[in-house]
Amino acid sequence: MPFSVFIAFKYLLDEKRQTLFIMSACAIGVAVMVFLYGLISGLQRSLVDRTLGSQAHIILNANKEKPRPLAEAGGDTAVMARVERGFDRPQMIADWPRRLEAIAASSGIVAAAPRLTGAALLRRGDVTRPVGVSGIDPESFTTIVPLAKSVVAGRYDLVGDEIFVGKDLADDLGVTVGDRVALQTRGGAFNFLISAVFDLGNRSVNENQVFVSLRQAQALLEAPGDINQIDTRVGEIFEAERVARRLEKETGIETISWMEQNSQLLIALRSQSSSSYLIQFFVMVAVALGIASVLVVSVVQKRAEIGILRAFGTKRSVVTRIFLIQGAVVGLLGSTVGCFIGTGLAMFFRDSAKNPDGTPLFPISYELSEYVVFIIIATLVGIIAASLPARQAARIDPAQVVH
Amino acid sequence: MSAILELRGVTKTYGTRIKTEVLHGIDLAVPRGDFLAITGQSGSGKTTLLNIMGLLDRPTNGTLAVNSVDTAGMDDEAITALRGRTLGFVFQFHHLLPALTVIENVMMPLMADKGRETPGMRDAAAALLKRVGLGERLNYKPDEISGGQRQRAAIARALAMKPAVILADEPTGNLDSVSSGEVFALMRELNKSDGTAFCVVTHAADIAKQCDRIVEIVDGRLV
Repeated sequence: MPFSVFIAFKYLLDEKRQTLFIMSACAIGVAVMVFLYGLISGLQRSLVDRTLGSQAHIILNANKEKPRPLAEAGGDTAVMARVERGFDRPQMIADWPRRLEAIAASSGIVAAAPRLTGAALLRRGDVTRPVGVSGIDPESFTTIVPLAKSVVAGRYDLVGDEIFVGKDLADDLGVTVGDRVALQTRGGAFNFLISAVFDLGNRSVNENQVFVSLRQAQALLEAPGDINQIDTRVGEIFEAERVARRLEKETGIETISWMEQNSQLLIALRSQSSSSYLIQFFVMVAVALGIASVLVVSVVQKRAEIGILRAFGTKRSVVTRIFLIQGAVVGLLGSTVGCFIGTGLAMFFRDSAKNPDGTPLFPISYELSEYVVFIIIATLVGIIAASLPARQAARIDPAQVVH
Repeated sequence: MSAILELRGVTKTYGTRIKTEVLHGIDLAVPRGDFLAITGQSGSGKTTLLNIMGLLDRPTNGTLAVNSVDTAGMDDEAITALRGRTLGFVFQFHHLLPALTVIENVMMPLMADKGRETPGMRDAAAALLKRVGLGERLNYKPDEISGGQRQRAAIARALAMKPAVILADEPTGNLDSVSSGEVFALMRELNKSDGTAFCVVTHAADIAKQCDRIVEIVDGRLV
């Protein structure tokens, strides 16, 4: 064992009460950081999961038709134009099977699914509700939006004229699995049999969205063989915007990421994270001051001992190292204990308060890598905090302190 | 006989605005195997002289040569290494490190020199402690042994690096007469058997009389 490590450990073990005190301060500081991190990242993850539970990470939409003037101005011709949007003809993605395959293979994308969307009126008896119709391939669609897992009644299958309706829409119309409803479009009215009722955790989607097979939607929306949307899922959700911009450039199809659709949510999450980081920073400053003050006192108490070390050939750099090592050990061990305390506290919070549906009121989220980061930060803080007393110790003149 | 320590015209001045000269032109040589007593009244400059001889302080003027090598141009690191390898110290108060056991205290200068514990180091320290009569107290902490035993442990620590000179500042000043006699006898024996030179700063006339040479310092001058 190096001499500096040997002496550092001897000092830490000799002053057990002091060491315990300084280590406890570090442990409490790190516990607060871990607790705060677990709570905030858990809440954020829960919010993001809820948001992404009913939507694709990136949507590629067929380009909308732009209004064009009937005559162009030029030469002696002046045009009085009033640009007016005409009937909204649905635009389709040309050659979609090949493009779908290319998008699915694109980097950052883990799944892609075709979709045909349109508007319709859903009728049940005398009651009519406007709804969005989505024609999907159930198997690929559920890899984008977890619709299969969201089925609360019936089975996740669309055979023939079957339809999925949302829980809130079903409640509103008083229908359930096995009942029949009609969808009315410009092309006519089609009868469907409800094969599943879903709950995507989003009232708006549950109330206004119905899913039919892609083939049925193509017939209903008069778009045989076509789709107007490709839904994708990315590997890293916070990379979605970057991937979306790249896909738009590569495909020429308008894309929108979940981040763009939920920009206000992201701003709120960032503000929350910033506040959390600020609190963690000040906690670490307090920990650093605690470590530094105890080590400064230790240096004052050990002036004569440091003088003896120097008199017997210990270099200034070794004296510096002795105190830096003490700071590092306090940071390392204190933060390790702090990680356990913080996690225990967060678990207690998670288990003690529940929502009516049984989910935790304070969801917590941890990753092993975060613990490693906390321990590294605390160890570095310990070293930085020890640097002042270490320099003070190295400057001690043995002639002044040893008699 | 060649001198291990040689001071020529050494002066020491403290203070920057108001200067106080504590030592005035000291010339002193310590040959191998010497047993020198430095006496003088409180405030006469004995400890300052010992600090300069021990490379713990630097002279304001004059030269200090260790083994005929002038130390004036050496940096702090070189001085520290030279001090660790050439000189040993015994102080009035034992100054054993309380966090270390007796044997670890004796190993401390060796570990500081090598940077870590090396094979044989512990055995060498144990042999030294046995020699000073502490063979049964190796793993005791300093506060678990008597004052005389602590001072003997301090002598063993001073001997650890096999120094050419041991500088002892009132080594018996804190001990009762029995322990004082035992410690001085031990130093004398080590001087005779190993040829280690001793420079002993002392107030005690009876101790000084037993040394080979006595130099007296009065108001910063050797007389």
